[in-house]
This record gives sequence, structure tokens and C-alpha cells, in this order.
Amino acid sequence: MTRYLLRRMAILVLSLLLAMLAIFVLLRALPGDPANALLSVQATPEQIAAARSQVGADLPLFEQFVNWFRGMVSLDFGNSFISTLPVAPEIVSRLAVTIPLTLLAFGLAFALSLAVGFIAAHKSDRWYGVALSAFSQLAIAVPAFWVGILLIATFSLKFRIFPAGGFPREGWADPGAALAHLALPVLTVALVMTGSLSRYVRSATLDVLGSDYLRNARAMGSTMGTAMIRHGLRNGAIPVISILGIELATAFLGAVVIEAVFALPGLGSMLLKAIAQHDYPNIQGILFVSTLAVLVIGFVADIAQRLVDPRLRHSAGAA
Amino acid sequence: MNLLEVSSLRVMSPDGVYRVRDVSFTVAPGERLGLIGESGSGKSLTAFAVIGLLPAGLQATGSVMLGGTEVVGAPEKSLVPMRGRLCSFIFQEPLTALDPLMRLGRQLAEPIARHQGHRGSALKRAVLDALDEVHLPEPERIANSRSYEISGGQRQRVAIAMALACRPKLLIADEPTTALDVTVQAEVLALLDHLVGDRDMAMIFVSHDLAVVSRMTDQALVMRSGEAVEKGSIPNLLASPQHPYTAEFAAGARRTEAAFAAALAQARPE
Amino acid sequence: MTGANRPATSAETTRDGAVPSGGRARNRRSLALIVGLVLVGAIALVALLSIFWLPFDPSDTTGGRLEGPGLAHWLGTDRLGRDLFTQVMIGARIALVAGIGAVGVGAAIGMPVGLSAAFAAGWVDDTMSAAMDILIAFPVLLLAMLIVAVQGASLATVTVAIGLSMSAIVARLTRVVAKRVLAQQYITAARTSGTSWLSIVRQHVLPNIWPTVSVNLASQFGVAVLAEASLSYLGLGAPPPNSSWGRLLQEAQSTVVTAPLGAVAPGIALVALVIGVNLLIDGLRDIADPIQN
Repeated sequence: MTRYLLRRMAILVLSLLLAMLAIFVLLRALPGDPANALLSVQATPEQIAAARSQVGADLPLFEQFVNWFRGMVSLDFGNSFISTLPVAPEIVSRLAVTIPLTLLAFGLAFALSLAVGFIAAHKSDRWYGVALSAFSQLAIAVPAFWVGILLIATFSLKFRIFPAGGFPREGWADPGAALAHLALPVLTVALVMTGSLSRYVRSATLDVLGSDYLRNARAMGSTMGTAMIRHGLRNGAIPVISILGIELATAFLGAVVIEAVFALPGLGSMLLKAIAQHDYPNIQGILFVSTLAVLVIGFVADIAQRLVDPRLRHSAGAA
Repeated sequence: MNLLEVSSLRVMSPDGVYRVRDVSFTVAPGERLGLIGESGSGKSLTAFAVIGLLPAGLQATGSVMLGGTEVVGAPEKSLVPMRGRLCSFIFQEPLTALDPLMRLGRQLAEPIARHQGHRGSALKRAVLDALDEVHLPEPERIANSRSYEISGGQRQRVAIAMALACRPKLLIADEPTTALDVTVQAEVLALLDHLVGDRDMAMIFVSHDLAVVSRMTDQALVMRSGEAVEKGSIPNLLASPQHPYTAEFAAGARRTEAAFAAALAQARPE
Repeated sequence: MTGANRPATSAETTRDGAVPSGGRARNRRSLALIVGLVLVGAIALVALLSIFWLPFDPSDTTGGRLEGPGLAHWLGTDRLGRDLFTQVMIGARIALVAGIGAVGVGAAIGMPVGLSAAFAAGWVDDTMSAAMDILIAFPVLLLAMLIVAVQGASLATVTVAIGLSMSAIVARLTRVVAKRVLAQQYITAARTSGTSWLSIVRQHVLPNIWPTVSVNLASQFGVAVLAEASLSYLGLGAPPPNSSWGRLLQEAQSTVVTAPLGAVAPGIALVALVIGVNLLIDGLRDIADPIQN
């Protein structure tokens, strides 16, 4: 197991390096001179050249990459082309919004999905089981931003329970206010995530309910409940864990739209602005952090799967 | 008093088709009955209905009196104490009947603890003894293994050990050797025969193979398309079948009997 | 995990043949088929109609701002006075074009790539699979945003961008299914009897992978429509007056309480289209893809 862990971590680092290279190359491959963003339309060639050297865009590509890489390793992500403010601190302050949003939404979605999926499977012959199944179908067909708009309309504007958007200037200094501002965004993301996650839970539950090992346990005198807990839990968790990692990563990356709906100062809105302005250092920094997050989530999910399913421990390769 | 009395048992599937139609039979303590038929004849469903574990969506009507208690339509909590203690089950495919994630020793410990009341090291001892009873060499290694790490024959022996750990009065075996290799089949059948006989258990043996059933039981019920076609002692069914379907079946059995005898001869030098 | 290769459980062996047979499942599927057909059909008809006839000119702002539904304007007007019903009709056309276009692009790129990967072996295959996995992990929205930022916001750009992101998923599925088909004996038989690879692909591989791949493509349609809506919401899609539903929702967000219809109608239309397509797929499942069951 430790050998697999080390191998997996090596792959993680390697993937990260490859991703960094890919990000760098991809951005440089896009048309649109970064220097243009700094200047007005009628800039003289000398002004353009000066801007480019100021920004470091006149150095050979390889040197640019090495500089950037060295900076990253020492946690200096460079400075924004537009605001000339350092990238890293801004990313950190934005993460203070995006990470809690993602984790809270994920936690809520997980709890809801377990309930919805299990009931939809176990009580598929009752009306509430069918209703929950229909709810999942609906939730995956609904655009997240629309759910956000409707929630704002209902709980902010109509009933004035939660703020309609934004985030307190002091950040988490007042946790109550911060949470109040996150309540609706978290609910929005959680509802949509529950749609797809609950379907996996439902499918896993159906598999367990129809399984022979469950019937065998009951044939030996186990009650349904005991059998489900002793055997069903672990067996059913396997397909669900594999999708959890993907869902969490998707939530993290999909925050862009939700932050737009609720005007949250998170990583997503920073990215949107950076892309529009061709602010390469910002874009690179954000993509790096996002990629790192996704790779780490994948790593943890992989390890979790191996812990739960001993059959995987014998297979040599990564899934 | 009969251990099991089945009267007019019907099993209906969700699309309204009767998979088992008006089946009736009895099993006395220590008696062995074979349920013979092709796939789709309803024999396995009948077996599941006896223990109250029909797959989801299938409804049973009629009467199944197990040890004096009605099974059909009974609430789950009245069935639970009966299962294992009164009546136990062996499934056809041990690979799916055993939890793939759990070590076999732990799985075996569950019914043993429940029905024999052991704990701690006494429980561990009992698990190893149970594995010994089904003639598994290296019981400790098996107890630490998982179902996919051992062979099919070994798996089925573990399943038998689990079923017998409950010390049931009636054992239902649903095609227990069909999924095994022919040479291994003979050994497992011999084991089953010996253990059931030793404990004076009653047995319902479900199979599509008349030769196998004839080896394990004296009486048999022939089923076809959900209906009971003919019942009687095996020699009578073979020699003077009353129903043309039984005759077809007997003819098929003779063909495989020859092959079976050859396999038995191969299995004998141990 | 669940798939055709695991040993059958007792519950399955006691039933003849594969999956939910039974009247109840069949009825549910027919209901799904009908509802799906109605929803998708209605939207498709509206989209088609929008090419020839619209109640108002889309840039006509004479309607009075944020009026409620009435005889003149069936769904009211937006904040600039444009007729909402007209805009929703146009949005239907755009959604369908975006959805079909993106799926088309995804298939046009993904299937050939997937097929080549299926024929490749060794490290070439591994590399292609790794590349596909990376592309799949890269979120649809992000890639689309980058492309749109460069090319400018338009329906074509958005459609191609989404299609590009999807091609990886299509490619991966095509590769898996094609590999399975290629391992079959009838392929070996065709080879030994001298059939060329091209004919084999045309006669054996394509027809056999089509059921599974087409179901996947159909389910990607819903994803594409939602992705286009999200991009339009962010301002990266087709600009007005040919706004897509996503764009309409973005414009209506500020007036959601005073003029709710603007924020509700396009949303309902989106949901109806996506659910309709999903129900259609469910309803057609038996016919479309017997293997998947």
C-alpha cells in the first residue's frame, strides 16, 4: 500500500508539472498580445515594446516559463498585468470564499443525496420514493444559475431572509455575516449536485438490495437492517466514492457561474475577469491552483477507493 | 408433524405472469425432496418462497407453513427468527452469495455467533471447526481470505459451512453444484450428503439435473412452467414416468448419468 | 462494477433474459417516450417556426418596458421594451442549434479519434487515453471561456467550444466500445477471409458501436444546451437581439421580482428541453441500446 501511495504521489507531481507546462503553452498559443491590455488603441510601436518588456513578454518563451516556474515553487505567482498587484495573495483571499462555498455545498449535497438516493431505491414502490426519483431527474436538467436566480427572488427579495449577493468586506471576521452571504449559493450548488449524486446513490442501493450476499445474510437469519449495515454499506460505497471525487472537482471548477449569479468575490469571478483582460499571470495562477485542487481531490478519492475495496489493492495499475 | 407444508403456492411477477402455479408438497423431518425442472420452471422461486426471500416485485399467495408458522404474507419480524435456525439456504453462485469485501472468517462468524452464541476466542475456534467440518484444508488461511481468492469448490464449501452453522432443521440447496466444475461437483455433493445425513436434516434439493438429484434425494417433484407435473420416488419417476414430460427428463438424465459416472471415477483417487 | 461481465445473481437467473421486463417498467417507458416527444416536439416546432414568423421584430423596443403578459405581448416585455415571447422563440432556435451543433462537433472529432485509438495499441493507445482523460477533466466551461475570450462571443464560437470539450468524452467511449467490438470473433473471421480494415469498420465496427455511442451523444445534447445557457449567462454567448435563453435570464435577473415572467419563462423552457430529451432517451432505451441494459 505504501508503495502505491508513493507511486501515486509521484504521478500527482508529474501531472502537475505537465499541467503547468500545458497551461503556459496554451495561454501563449492564444492570439492577443498581453501588452494590448495595458495600452490604449493608438499606441506607438515604442510604447508597445516598452509595455512588453515591462511585462516580460519580450523574453524567449523558455525563459519566461523557467521564470514563472521558479516563482511558483517559491510561492511567488508573479504580478497581474493589469493591476500589477501580486497574484498569490489575491488568489488566497478569493479562495477564502470559494473553498468554504465548495465544501459546504458538497457536504450538504452528500447528506441530501444519501437520503434521497437511498429512499428512492428502497421505497421505489411508494409515492415519495417515486417523487424523490423524479426530483433527481429534474435537478440534473436545471441550469444552476437559474436555481440561483429563483432562490434570490424568493429568499432575498421576497422574504428578506438572506442577502441577495456579495460578500462582507471584512471577510470571515464576522462569520455570521459571511455564512449568511454564502447560504443561498451553497443551497444552489447543493441542490444541483444532489440531482446527479443521488442517482449514483440510488443505483448503488439498488445493486445492494438485489444482491445475493444480502439475501444470503438474511437467509442466515440477519434482519434487513443489520445485513444492509454489515454488508451493504461498504459494497454500496464503492461506486459512490468514485463519483464523489469527480463531483467535488466539478463543483470547485463550476463555481464560476455561481459566483457570477451572487456577485461573490471568489476564484471564479477572478478568472472570468482575467480571461477577458488577457491577464496571463492571473490566469496562470488560477489555473494552477484549480489543477492542483482537482489533482489532489482525485488522489484522495483514489486512496479512499483502495481503502474501501480490497480487490483494488491487488491490481498493479492506476485505475 | 411436517416440517414444511406448501399448499397451492403461487408466485406472480410484476407483469402479471404466474411463475409458480398451484404447487403443493410436504417435507417431514429428515426427509429429502428434489425439485427438478428446466430453467424457468419456477423451482428456484419455490425455494425462495419457502424461506420468504423472493426477489423484489414477486408476490406469493397460497400457504407455506414452516415449522407451524405461515410464511406467505408474514411480516419480516416473524420470519427473521426462523431463518437460519429452522431453515437455511445455499445459493447457486457462491461468488455472489458471499460478500466480496469481507474476509470469509468474519462472514462465517456472523451466523455462528447468532445461532451458537459463541464470543471471542471461542467464536474463532468455532469458525475454524466449521471450516474443518466441510473438509477445507488450511482453515486459517481460508478464514483470512476473501471469496475471490479461493476456488469455486472451496467457496461453496464455505457457503455450506455458513448454512450449517445455524444448525437448521431444513436445508434448501438451490443448484449448489451447477456453477462448479464437474469433478468438483461430485466431491461437494458427497460432502453435502454426508453432513445432511449426519445431522438428520431435512433437505430440499433444487436442480435441473435429474442424475444429481437422484444421487441426493429419494423423492422428487418435477416442475415445468411453474406447475408441479409429477411427484414420486426417483426410481419410479425414472422407470415408469406417468407424465410425458417426466419421460423426456428421464431420458436426458440417462445420457448425463454416463458422463457423471465417468467424472466420479476420475474424482475418486484422492 | 455493474456491467455485462459479472456473474449473475440468483434474482437474475430466475428471470428469463435481461432487465426490467414487466408491464410496469414498460408502461413507465412509454410514458417517458410520449412526454419526451411532446416536450421536444413542441420546442422544435417553435424553433422551426421562428425562422419564418415571429410575433414581433426582435429589435422592436416599442412595447413599453417590463409589461406583464397581455393580448399584445403574450409573455410581456423585457426591460428594453422587446417582446418576450419573440425572444423565447428565438432562444429555442438557438438552443437547438447549439445543442445539435455541439454534439455534431463532438461526434465529428471524437468518433474518428476514438476509433483510431481503438486500433492503436501499446504506448500510442496509452498516450491517447491519457490525453482524453486530461481533456475530460478540464471543465467544459473553462475551455469554452478561453476559446470565446480569444474568438469573441458568438453562437458559432460557443457551439464549437462546447463541442470540442465534449469530443473527449465521445472519443473515450468510442474507444472503449470499439475495442470491445474489435475483440469479437466475427472481426477475426472477417480478417481471415480477406476483408479490408476499411470495410470491417464500415460493416462491423460502426453498426455495433452506434447504439451505445448514439445514446451517449443524445445525453450530451442536454449537457450542451445547459453549457450554452451558462456561457450566455456569463455574457460569452450570442449577443442580443438574437439572445439565447441563458442571456435572457441574465438580463431579467435584476427585475426578477417586478417582472418575474422574464426570469421564469426562459428557465422553464430550458428545463423542458433538457428533461424532454432525457425522457426521450429513457423511452427509447430498449430500441436504441439493448447492450447497455
